[in-house]
Amino acid sequence: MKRYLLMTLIILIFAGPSYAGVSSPLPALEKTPLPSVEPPNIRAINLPQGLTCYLLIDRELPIAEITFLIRAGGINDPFPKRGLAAMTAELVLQGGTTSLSPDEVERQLDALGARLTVDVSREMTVANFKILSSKLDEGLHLFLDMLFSPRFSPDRLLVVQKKFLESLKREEDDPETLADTRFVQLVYGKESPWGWRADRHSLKRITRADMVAFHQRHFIPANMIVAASGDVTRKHLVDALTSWISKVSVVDPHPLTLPKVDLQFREQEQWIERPLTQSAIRLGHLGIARHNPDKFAVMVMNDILGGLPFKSRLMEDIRTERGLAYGISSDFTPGRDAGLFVVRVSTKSQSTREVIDLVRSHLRRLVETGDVTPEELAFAKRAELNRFIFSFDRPSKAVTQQALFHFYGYPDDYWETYRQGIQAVTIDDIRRVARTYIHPEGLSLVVVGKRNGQDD
Amino acid sequence: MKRLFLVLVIFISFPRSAVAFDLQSRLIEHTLSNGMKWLIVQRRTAPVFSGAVIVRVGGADETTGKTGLAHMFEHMAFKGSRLISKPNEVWEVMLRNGAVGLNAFTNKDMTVYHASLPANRFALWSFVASQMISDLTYRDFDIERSVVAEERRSSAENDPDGRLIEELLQTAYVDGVYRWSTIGLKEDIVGLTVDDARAFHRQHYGAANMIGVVVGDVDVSTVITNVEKHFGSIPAGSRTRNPLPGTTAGGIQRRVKINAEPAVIMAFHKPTYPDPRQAVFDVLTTLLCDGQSSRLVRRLVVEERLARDISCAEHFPGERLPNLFLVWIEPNHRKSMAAIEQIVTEELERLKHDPITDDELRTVVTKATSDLMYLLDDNMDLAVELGRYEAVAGGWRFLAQYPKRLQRVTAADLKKVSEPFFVDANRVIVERTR
Repeated sequence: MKRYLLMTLIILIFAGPSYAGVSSPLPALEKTPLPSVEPPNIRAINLPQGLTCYLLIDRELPIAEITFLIRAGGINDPFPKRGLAAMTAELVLQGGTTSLSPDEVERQLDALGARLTVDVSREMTVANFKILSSKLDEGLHLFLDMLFSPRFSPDRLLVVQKKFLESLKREEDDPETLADTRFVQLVYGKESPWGWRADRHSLKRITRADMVAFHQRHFIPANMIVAASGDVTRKHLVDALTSWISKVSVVDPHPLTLPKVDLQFREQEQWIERPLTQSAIRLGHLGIARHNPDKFAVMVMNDILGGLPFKSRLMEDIRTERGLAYGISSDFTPGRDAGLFVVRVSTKSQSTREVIDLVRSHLRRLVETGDVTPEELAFAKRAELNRFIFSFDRPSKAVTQQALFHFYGYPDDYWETYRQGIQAVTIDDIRRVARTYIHPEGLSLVVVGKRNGQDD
Repeated sequence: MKRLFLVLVIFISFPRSAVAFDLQSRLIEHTLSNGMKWLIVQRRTAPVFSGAVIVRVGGADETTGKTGLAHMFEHMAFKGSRLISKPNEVWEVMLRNGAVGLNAFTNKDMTVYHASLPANRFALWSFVASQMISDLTYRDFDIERSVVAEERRSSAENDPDGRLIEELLQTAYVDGVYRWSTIGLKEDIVGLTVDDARAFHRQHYGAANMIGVVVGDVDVSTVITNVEKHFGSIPAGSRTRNPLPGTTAGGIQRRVKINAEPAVIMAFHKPTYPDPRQAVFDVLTTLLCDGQSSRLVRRLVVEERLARDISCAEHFPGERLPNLFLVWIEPNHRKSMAAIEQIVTEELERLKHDPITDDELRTVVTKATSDLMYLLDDNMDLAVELGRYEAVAGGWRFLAQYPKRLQRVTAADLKKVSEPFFVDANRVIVERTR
């Protein structure tokens, strides 16, 4: 008997280094308070014709980055010519300027080592330009030439139109993209400026004259916010911008009036039948406006539900516990009028129904029982506030955020509003906003995959 | 952010220009007694840092029947250790301390674990990261296999590009480790066991096979003290030896039916680092495919309007073994693949007699110089690239000298490399049609 006991002991000892007596060093490693951070104080520089500019100089690297936010996006498209904002931006990028042919512009951009991208979303066109500061003089001139006096070369119109038509078809090949676009259409409606998509017919209707007119109307200084950072001098930037503005004729901005989004929450579903082994699932409904005072409570609630990586209810249940998905997340993106609430997940065909039901039950639980624990709340707030620094840890990020605040109509010290807003959220707030903004009986569902998938 | 302010104030009164950031003089190396090498770049832009641990093991180190095993570690690392033992506690600890970019990735060459945190959490990160790679509990191995199966459904099975890549690999290699993609074969993933994983870990997760990189607002002495403490006791093990390159196949053109828009990949077998000819392929990627004025984009997209998009890759699918140079084309609606392939072939032939001009070479070098500076702007991107170069691409100095290396390439080099490599017998074409 004694011998057996001794053997067990020996086996235990040699089973590996015993951690029985070792306590975790984690508490000691987390004891020091995190560095207190203050966002950089970036003031607006107001230039002629209503152009607003934000600048953050930083000379650690010999590079400069300049971003234009332009109030021109998909919501500005006329319905029959959906895609006009996006095509205009692409032609600004590759259609040449009044003084330089498209080939010449592209040759110069490449020779300068510049990186220029444009991205068009519902509300804005974002043009981002990066260059070595030793080439900034030439580069900035070229960039402004492209933005303010594009040629819209007819040859390139053909290239761009082909590219857009082809891209439209290729979106169908990616189940995730397809699910996202169809979900937005289903929630807002195909005729809503927030939901409509370009199609073959609308793209083919767009002419060079449409683009010239769109550019004249929307690419005006009063519609633009500039975010500049890096190895730039204030005088150089301001002089370059001012001199370009002086060449542009004065056009008054046209404020866009859009029909109000109809805040309806009704059950609806759309299956897009594809012979896939996995279903891309989107479940959700209309969200909140970005000026809604409940925004911060909604953000924290969403973190708890599925916003934070891994430490969220949806992820812990559907991936960690059940292994039913690689990724699952929820987003409550605020919008100008009504944003979007969406849960995104993909799972094998056979578990499609099961996952949809699980997501629904998590939403009902949040709304009906409001069983959010003080630990969940404290954790979500802490994660939000402690990663705050990463919203402006690079000069280009800091200055672009500042420009976005201006675009959205937030105060210049919005970071303070944000910090206080998150800090103030209580469990009662979470319960209240869950009941107000989540509608488990009014969900839109989009699935791309096999409707009756059995085989793997 | 206080420091950012200071910099701002100082430089406004001295409006001189920044000088090139000299990576070579800014980087500090430190090797632990067990052989694990650390690269430290201190920069004070904001009170944050990014850390990465690179283990020089990937899909290329698996054996037939056990594919997908290297990638399982990426998943197991987040399942915790004996000291971080609650479910998802790795995430919980890191998130409550402000982590972003917490993740891992695996390719044919290496497995990379990374995160960014506020500056005074270096000790915390080094403890957690060391636990993640050295003291695995293999909790929920079975559940995680299902998660990986879902990952495979997204990235390979139901992704037309993922499927085309698998077809390409099976066509270009008769045998060897490049025949499978890193995620692994479906039938292999379901059969992986904890015992397989333990054996793989013993063999490959030794300190001599690891590299640590830290970029950001950290003190070098703090970094050294902490990595000595947390990584110093990992057994040295040995550096993973490269497997033998597989038998290559050439002179093949295959058409695969996949229900998606068409695509073509033209692939050419080629050597890898440290072969000096790699620099020529680096130049070619930019010369042929980077930017609207590059040779192939100009001809196929702009002039002939045959393709929507075209891209090149200079070392696919991995860098540790001889690999492939790829040209990937997405044809426009109803455009002939034969016509497209003909033009690509013409442009590659042109390299043999109509050499690169001085202007073109200057553009390539300017782009490489600029891209390196843009890369330096982001702590995480820089940490991962330094780690990659150190682990598999000739050492971190190769990254710092990248533009210089390209500058040394001559028109004669291009001709000399193009002649033997861009020939039918060395080429594989896979076409995707409905």
